[in-house]
Amino acid sequence: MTNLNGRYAIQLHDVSVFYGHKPAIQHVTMPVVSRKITAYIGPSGCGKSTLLRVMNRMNDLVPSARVSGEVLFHGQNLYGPEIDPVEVRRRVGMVFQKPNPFPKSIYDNVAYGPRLLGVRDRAALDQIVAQSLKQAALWDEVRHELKKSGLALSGGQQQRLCIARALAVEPEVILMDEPCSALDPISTQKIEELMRDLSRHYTIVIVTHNMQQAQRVSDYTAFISVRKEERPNEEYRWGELVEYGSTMELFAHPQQEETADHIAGRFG
Amino acid sequence: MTTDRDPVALAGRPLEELPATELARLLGEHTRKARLRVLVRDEILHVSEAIDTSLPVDNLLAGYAYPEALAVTSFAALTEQELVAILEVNLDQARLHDLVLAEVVGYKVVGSWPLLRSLTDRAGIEAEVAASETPNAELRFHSWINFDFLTSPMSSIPASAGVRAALLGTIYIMLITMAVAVPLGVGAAIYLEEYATPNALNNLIETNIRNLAGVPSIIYGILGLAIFVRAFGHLTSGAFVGVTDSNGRTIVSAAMTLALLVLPIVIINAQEAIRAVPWSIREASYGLGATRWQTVRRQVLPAALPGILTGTILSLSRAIGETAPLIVVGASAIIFTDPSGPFSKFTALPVQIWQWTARPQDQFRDLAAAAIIVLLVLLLSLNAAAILLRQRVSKRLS
Repeated sequence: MTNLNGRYAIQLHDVSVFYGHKPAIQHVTMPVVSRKITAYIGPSGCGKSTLLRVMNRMNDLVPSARVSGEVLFHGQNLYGPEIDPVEVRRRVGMVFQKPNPFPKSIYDNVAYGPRLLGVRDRAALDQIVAQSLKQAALWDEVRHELKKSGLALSGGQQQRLCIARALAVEPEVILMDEPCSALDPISTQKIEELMRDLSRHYTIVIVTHNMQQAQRVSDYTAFISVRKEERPNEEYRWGELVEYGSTMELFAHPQQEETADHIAGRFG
Repeated sequence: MTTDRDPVALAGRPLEELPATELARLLGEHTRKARLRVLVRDEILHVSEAIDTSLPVDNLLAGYAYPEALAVTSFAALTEQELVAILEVNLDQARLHDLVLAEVVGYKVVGSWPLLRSLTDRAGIEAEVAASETPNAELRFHSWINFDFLTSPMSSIPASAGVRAALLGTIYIMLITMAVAVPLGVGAAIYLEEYATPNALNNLIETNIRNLAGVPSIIYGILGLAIFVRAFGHLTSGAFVGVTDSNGRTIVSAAMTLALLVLPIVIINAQEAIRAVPWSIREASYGLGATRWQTVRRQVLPAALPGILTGTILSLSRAIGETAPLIVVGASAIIFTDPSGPFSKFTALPVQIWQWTARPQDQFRDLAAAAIIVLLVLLLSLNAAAILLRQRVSKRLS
């Protein structure tokens, strides 16, 4: 596949992930469209998060994980031998399910990434921190207490702090692993608005359990379902991509019966 | 306590004020020749076996100071004055003063009473002393623990003995032990928790560390003797910096042995502390493009620091009370001089306590009890420091 005028930020090509000898997700082929929001939906344990973590090589941190297939980023395979996973994670940022600010001040949380990259100049750091917090719609709430611990913020604020922290290293893609599952509806709404805002400049991939959320925020949706196989002494469960399309299409006219059942809340 | 002679009448003024020569003269005038020979053996040569007195002085006292004129004289032929001259050039005024007190004045502690009784039944004690048949008996109320006890060196006279050398020895040993064990132990814990993949070799290493934490300390003593005193004796004796008298039984050897002893404890505690750092913090750091070392250095270690500190102090508390390995490694039972550096001979508080309790005289047991309190206070203040440090560090983090 070629990079169609930068239309695709990431292309997955026959991607499978195994933990030890057990498959977690198999044979996924799909694109991630640049500067749009792509949502992964599917039942629990179908490997959505695993697939998300393939895109910035976070699975490398699990010793038993093995990835096959190609993940193309600017036409380059992220799992190629010459690729440094640290470099990948600088260009593909991540926001996690539970807000996980560092036990440091708000300022130091946001400045962490730039400092890793060697930014020492105080004025430059101040500028990056302010800009990232503004982008994450947190600036007005914390501008006078940047020295306060990140852990002292509310859950929704913490998650926006984590988004600001990810933005501070200027990634091209931001992966979000159920970013609102630990938040109340008002905080969720704020994060969703923020995602719509950010999608003008960033490519966003989000995993969600919440069908309405996928409909509200995403431009493209991929439905992943669970496959099972009885083996002697154990049961293998892995995920497979069932359907991928524009969110409007997929929710209005699902092509597969399984997708329709899942969207309607009927589980087989 | 009793005295055979009145110390002030002896020289016309208090003994402490006399210069070394005067003290030596007194010692020579009032002490028998055979006793003076024993003093030379005990105080200068520090050996407990009999010495060959037919040898000439330059042979017997090789490596020690002696008046040049006596070099070829046989030891047995020395007069009282000549023996005293040898003592005088080797010992300082304080030590000579102690010897005059013990040998000439005959200053002895005859009995002592527990603190409770001396507080509640003073009259009873006084009556007991008056009724006793000891000549020149004198009753003195004083605490074994006082500032002098901390600052005086070891002495064979209980009343003037102190823990200075042992206390300094313990402090030196602990400093070197921690300087060796903490970086090694924390480094090992970081490797095992953050870098090592769970394979057969690493599992074996981890199991072994856990087992090593339970090995009796005397085994470590023997290991230290074999490795640090014998095999690496040329390094631990300090021969390469010109120290010649220690024979590998030095502060460095003792500290390295204790470092081996506490290393497993430091590693296990540091591992626990590192493991307690939430995985989400590491994930956040890696997710921002941090390398493994950056994550360890900037997130894991600071968050694990309170736990690591506690573990370190706990292991320090274990090391500070260890006696057996120090004895095996060669702590000097009797030492009168302060340790002069990492390559000097040493003793430590627990060794000193053990050595005092093994003496036949009751008063040394009082000294041992006093030294135990010193050790206890040292230990408790270390632990208190650890708690304070930990609270400050965790407050800064949250």
